[in-house]
Amino acid sequence: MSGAAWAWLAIGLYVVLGFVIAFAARRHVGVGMSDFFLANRRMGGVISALTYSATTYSAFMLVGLVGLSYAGGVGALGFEMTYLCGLFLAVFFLPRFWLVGRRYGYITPMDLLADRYQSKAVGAVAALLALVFLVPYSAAQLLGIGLLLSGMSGGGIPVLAGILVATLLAIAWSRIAGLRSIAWTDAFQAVVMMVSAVILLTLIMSEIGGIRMFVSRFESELPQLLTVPSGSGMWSLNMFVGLSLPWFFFCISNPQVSQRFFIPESVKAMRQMMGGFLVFGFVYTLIAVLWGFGARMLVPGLGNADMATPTLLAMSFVPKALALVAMIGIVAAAVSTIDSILLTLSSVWARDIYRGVLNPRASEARELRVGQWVIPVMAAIALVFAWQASTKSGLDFMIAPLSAAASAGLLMVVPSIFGAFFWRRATAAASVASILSGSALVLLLQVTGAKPLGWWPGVWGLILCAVVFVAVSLVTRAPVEKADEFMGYLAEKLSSGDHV
Amino acid sequence: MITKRRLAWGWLGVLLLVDLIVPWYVLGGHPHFTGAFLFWVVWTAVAIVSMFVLFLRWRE
Repeated sequence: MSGAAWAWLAIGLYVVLGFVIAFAARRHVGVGMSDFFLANRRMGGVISALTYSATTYSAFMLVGLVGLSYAGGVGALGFEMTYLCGLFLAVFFLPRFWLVGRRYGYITPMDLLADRYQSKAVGAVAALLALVFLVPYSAAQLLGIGLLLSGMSGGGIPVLAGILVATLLAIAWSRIAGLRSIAWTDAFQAVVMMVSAVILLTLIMSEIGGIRMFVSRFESELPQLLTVPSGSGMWSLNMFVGLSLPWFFFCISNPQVSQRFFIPESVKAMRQMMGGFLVFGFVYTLIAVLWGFGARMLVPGLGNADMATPTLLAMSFVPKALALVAMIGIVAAAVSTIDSILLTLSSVWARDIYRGVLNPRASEARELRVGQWVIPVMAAIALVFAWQASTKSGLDFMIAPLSAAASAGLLMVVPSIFGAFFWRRATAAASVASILSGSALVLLLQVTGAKPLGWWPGVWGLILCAVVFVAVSLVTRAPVEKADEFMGYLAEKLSSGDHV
Repeated sequence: MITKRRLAWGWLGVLLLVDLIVPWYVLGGHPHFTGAFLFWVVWTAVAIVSMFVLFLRWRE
């Protein structure tokens, strides 16, 4: 059989298994927004941990991070570990999101902000921020799948076919049973991601001659990759902060992740979600970085570091079957991220824009229908972005800067989230002004490529956003009655549950 | 009296400072796996253990 036929066979098996799991999840579906988008807030700890992991870790890990490690060395480990330690924020925010989510029935993080600040405009602006920055991010994931499948099949699978398959899977697994089908397929995909990564790392180390030989050879042949900045000048402190800052706040700034804070069925499930993700993330990050180091030793001199993984998978020491499993692991990482983003964006559209602004009197059933129909629409938009980028015409000039700006742009909601939980004096006007001014600055700096004083767009955006948030809060009227009720409830519940 | 919450925020601040200072200003001239690589592995392990200490206390 040809490379393309093997790749299609592997994809076919993966798709069939995914559909079996998704339809199994459908048997538990109930009615209403909370049921479809949050699995009725009754998700067990293990599935919560796996869906959190699969949603958080995209194809970036085994393609982008491997490339960063290949080109720049140990700084990539520091960047990704700093991101993982951003989960320290969840120690403060997870119980808070979870408690108020149950008390007030929030569906999305924007829903929470709108209610806390007593302003639909806050929810709508935060929702638009997510829509602007997450669609290109999804498109980049789709494009990554298309390029990977095309590369591994020697061009036998066209890029557009790969993009289409991923889009259809993301739509189907979101629509079949909402968060339930996503969480269950995510759990399956997280296992595939981890198993394939471990197997391939073992092969790489074995090809190099074992761990001791790897360490010894790497230290003597590539010592410049074991310090920061690296010998090539990569990973200056400015670059590290610029990349790490948006990702450190990822768990509260990215709605597809923070929406997961609403779903655990109990405090025990919350603990399992935290613990499971931390262990998964630690191991997966180490594997990705060591893949990159191994690739640098086995296939030095690549012009494009992002080709390190596809090149490794095509090497003769990697059995065809394992290369296919690894390929499916990367596809799974991307699809599990895209379908979660689609589901979150559809809930955001339905709750925060349609019901929040366009049709406040809409019934919950109608709101749910709107949300379900938005899934394929969002997917189609992401598909068009990805397709245009793949043909290098039309919108391709926007994809790269918008994707890179995505994490920095979403960072602009962070002061509003801190204010909602920790500052009684925070106001809706401040929230809107800070999000708009910060994201405009990030986009401007990103598009022009400017880095004033050497610092990256996210750093300047966050500084401006925080200053505007505090300044405007001090001169506008805060919803103190709501703030007292909201924060008072949390203070009482948190102290009785021994939270910080 | 310093509350547990403030202690936790303070500890997070210390972790982040160490994250930025040690690899660049202490281990910059140590091109071995026992340098920045080991530092970040241990640093992450310490941060994860800290999180476990905090969230394992959560009660219903």
